[in-house]
Amino acid sequence: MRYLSADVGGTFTDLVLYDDESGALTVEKLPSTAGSADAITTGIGRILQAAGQTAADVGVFVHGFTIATNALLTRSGADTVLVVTKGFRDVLEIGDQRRREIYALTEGKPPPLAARSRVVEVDERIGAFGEVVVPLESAELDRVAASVAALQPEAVAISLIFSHRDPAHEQALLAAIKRALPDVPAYLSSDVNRQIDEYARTNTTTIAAYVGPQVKRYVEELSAGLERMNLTAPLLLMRSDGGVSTPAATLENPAHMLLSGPAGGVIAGAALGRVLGASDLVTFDMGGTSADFSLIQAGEPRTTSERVVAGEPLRLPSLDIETISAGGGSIAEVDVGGALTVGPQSAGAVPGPACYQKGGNKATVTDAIAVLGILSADATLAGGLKLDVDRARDVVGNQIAKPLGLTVEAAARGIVSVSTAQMVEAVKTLSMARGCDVRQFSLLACGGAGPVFAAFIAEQLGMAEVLVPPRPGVFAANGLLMCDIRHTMLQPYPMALSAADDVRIAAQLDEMATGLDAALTRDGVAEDDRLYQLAADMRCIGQFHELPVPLPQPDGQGWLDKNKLAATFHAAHELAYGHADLDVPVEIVSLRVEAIGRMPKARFQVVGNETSEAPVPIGQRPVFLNADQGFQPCDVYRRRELRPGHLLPGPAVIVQRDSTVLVLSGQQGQMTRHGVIRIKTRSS
Amino acid sequence: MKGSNHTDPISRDVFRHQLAGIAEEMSVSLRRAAFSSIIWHMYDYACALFTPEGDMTAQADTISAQLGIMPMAFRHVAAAIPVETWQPGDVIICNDPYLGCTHTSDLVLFSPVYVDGELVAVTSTIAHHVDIGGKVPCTTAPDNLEVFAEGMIFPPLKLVENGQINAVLKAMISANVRDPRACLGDLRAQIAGCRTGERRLAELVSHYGRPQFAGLTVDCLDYTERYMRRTIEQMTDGRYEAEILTEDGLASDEPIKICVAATVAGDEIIVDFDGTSAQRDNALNCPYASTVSMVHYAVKCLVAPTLKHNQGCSRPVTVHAPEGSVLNPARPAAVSSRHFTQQAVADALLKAMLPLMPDRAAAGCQISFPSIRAGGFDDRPDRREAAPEGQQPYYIMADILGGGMGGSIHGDGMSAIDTHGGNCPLLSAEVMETISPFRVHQTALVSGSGGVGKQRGGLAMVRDYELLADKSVVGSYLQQTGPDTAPWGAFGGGPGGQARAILNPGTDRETQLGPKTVAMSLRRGDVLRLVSAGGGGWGDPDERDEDRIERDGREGYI
Repeated sequence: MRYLSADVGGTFTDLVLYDDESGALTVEKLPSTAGSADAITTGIGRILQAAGQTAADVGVFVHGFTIATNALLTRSGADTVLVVTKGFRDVLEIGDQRRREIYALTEGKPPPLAARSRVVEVDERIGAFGEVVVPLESAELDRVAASVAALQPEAVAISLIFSHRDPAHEQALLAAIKRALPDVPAYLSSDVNRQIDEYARTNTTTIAAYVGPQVKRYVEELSAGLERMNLTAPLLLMRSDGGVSTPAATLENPAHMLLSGPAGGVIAGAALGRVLGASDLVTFDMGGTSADFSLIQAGEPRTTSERVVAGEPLRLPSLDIETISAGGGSIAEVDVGGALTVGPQSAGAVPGPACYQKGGNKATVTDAIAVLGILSADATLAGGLKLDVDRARDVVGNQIAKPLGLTVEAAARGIVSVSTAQMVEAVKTLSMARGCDVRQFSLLACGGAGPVFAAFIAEQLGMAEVLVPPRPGVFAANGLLMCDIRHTMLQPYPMALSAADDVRIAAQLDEMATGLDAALTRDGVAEDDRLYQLAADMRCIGQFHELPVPLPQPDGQGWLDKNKLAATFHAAHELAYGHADLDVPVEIVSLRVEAIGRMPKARFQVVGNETSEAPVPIGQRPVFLNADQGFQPCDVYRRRELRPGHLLPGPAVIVQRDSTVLVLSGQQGQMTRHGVIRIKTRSS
Repeated sequence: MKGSNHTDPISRDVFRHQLAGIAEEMSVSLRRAAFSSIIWHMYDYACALFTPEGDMTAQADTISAQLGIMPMAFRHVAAAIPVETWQPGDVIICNDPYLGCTHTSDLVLFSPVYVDGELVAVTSTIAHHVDIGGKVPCTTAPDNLEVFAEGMIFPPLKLVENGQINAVLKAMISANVRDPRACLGDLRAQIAGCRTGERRLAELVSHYGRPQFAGLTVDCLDYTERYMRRTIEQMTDGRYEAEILTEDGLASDEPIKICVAATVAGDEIIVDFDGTSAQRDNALNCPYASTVSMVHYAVKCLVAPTLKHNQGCSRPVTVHAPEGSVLNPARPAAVSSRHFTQQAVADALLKAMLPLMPDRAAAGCQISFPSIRAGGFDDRPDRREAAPEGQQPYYIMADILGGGMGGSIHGDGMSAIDTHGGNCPLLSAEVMETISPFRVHQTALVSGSGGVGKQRGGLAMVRDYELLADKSVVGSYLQQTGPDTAPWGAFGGGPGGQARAILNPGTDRETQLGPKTVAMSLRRGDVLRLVSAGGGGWGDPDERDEDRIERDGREGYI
């Protein structure tokens, strides 16, 4: 079977075609076409031709995309009308009332996704225990539906107070609004994010409505394009939580798509780690404007239940990816006190680093690595431009070296050091917050700039090794071929554990699973490929934070051992918060069911047998890695000439089309059977 | 200012990130281990690193008002228990408002970092404890007369000695606070934060070696000082004055007056509060450490808002507050509600320095701190059913409303935010209604509450709380309720809307409450309405863009 994936980023669209019979992997990279599916259809044509295949040969097509994220980032989403309970019109304007920067007096708040004039209040009220306080009368339903229709929205979000306890009022409103506006997508907070706390739930629901129409348009355009080229394989879309979903399921809650882009890299990282026996990993994906980090523990990517995307709180499960604004385009400056700062401003893709000759005139991280000789002076950039090292020397010299009284090379090395320090501290904080010691972890580097910086970061963090996959520039696209279909459902179930009835809980879980089973049937997942994972969100009575605790599969009365469940909760609490109080009674907050539809997956292929021969460098060039030593001759290898078993003692530079890999002095790289460069950072 | 660098600038700049990273790690480990939502959810805590001499070298940015008191607390603690006598594994506790700390609810901890038997650094954490004993639940009450009503006072003491928690102190805490599990749980989280800092600092010292570590530390402090001084040097020398009035409403009808004069001379700023009101017979007095803290906060907002904070920020700034004034009260004046006066310190100084840094300044903002505190039995049937043995659970509920930020040269002020010194979130209505017998009838922006201007002030907010229990004891506190105390406009902008508290609005029992209403006994169905203050406007309102006026009208902001 052939698997096709397309990972669309802001700058490039990466495609991978994988043949699980021959193990052949074909890749294609082309510039993205903003907001349209053109790049994908063009790319598919090219990759099929290159691999000598036809569209009909493709069995599965998985797609990661940034349409939803960009709609939020550029505030270009749908004109959304929000419907809320009377008295809560300003739930988005007020938010959590916190400021992002504690010393900035002149900061502004981002405007809410639904403007104040596009919020409609409903006279109704559900109480804290699900009881009806103010009934929703039919005249009020008609009035609200008419008001919403008069605003001619492109999308509607409905989020009423305590709808997570009883969604009846939301459902009645949905029916009324659908009658008035049959073609406008509408989202209920009790469907999108059925959890307490009106701001988080309302904002998450509004995000779904805000990005929904663009996602819908895009998916429809893509489906039509695929049909035209006779690509009839099922289309699956990457979700933020590392699962995939069908187009129909995607449109039910498009807010699941916000991390569709970076998710693939994390999934691929976990899969590669399992193949290499490195089950604890930090994935590190560095591009032009930002660096993404995530933790993989015991082979499983970490997920988080809440995050901020483009300044907007989003409360849905997603892979735990931390993004910091450090990339190849990050601008270096010397401040009034004489300190070297790097970022957060970025030259981005345009005007870009000075050495790219696209109009950039500020010293960037990429200029620094050009000055140091890490990038090849005669490298040809995308678009046929030559790297202009002299220009890099000019800007680093004038803007950084002169004010600091350093040589150009020392200033360039300083930019790398400061940028590395920022990333190192971000990884430390991330791992501390998750309770792990990253010194036991491997660092998996991808993205264009990741393999350049990984050696520095691993050295600073005391990590044992760096892993660089065969094609770091298109690594995320691999991950898309390693996912399962996922559906999740959350149901509030407030109950002290001591008062919980296992028969009732089983009935509730069964009801939820039945709903998800229908979704898997619709997705075309065979019975044998369906899996259900059950969990309860639990907390200590009197405490605020809750934790998901796995539940066993119910198998008749007495299936739930409450003591065991409490012990599992306390163990999870210990892991998450560093302490546990076994005497404190616990309660259930909600029940969760995750339905998994197992999909066929691509595997990392063995590229050849190990050789004991030494690799032959394509040459040597002077590289400045250490201020004490200055320029040192450094072996340069070409990635595609390396074979499994080849040893690469540092300092060494490995050049390849989509990236540059750096091995520092004292480190040693080795090609593995899967074509991964595994760099040991310690001599032991 | 010290002269040449001990190390190269790159090493120093990498080191600055490393120190800040350690403070950040302390912060996440403290928060992760916290028991109470006031830490976990409301971020009411802070973490910092010090040299053995007491210079703060890095902080995690959470609550700036708390961060600013740590250096003074350090000096008092070190005077009482000399640092040379701190042993590895010790943790020192202090919360005495008259020994460099702030109100008693904020417990300050210090712990030494030893490498090869030598003291190389000190870590510190501070956290707000919901209840530390005293006259009323939640400890703070504006009508307290003396600090002795404000719960436990810890002079500098070893809470942990050689890794062992002091059993006597622990027993005393358990016997004197209303929720010992929360208090001790949060103290344990603070200790966890200190331990993280100790471990990471020791690693860093070992990495660099002690002499290099010390040299880098000095360079970091000197760099920050240089940044401050070079920026202050650009300001026009002179004496800049301002005055802010706030309501007392308890001990006197006379408002509290904060007078400030900021003198810029070369690369230094001298801040003098001469002329400020004498201390009051209530808990609105601001401990001296909090006064100093808010001065440094205000100066940093104008001089270096994005600079990583350390003691170098404070070096070019001198503070004087007359002894016996509300900003430097004498023991045993009560101080637990010092946040009202504390915010006015920042407001006054920012007003005085407005002409110096118009690019980073804003018009006056909400410093009203509208807050409700309630306690009693939650007798709602559903709560009783969920509780063990069906008894009525005792509840405590506290909420703080954000208000408007002042307009600035860059744009309209933010609406509905927690301002100077704090950064606490609003309590979710659904969470509040689940844990306490209240129903929130509205949480809304107040149209027209932003001061007019070319850039208008941010909007205030209003929240209505209906009591659903048979009865409860409720306090309602705020300030900025009159024309003399409302947020001020700048460069021709108008004042922000005034804060107010109303009982049973729109009924025949409607009552306008004063700025501080302590321990009202409310009954089922009573509604308390709190309205915060709007931000002041910036610039001539006649120069306001047509687009903005149109948007204000369309969105109902005016």
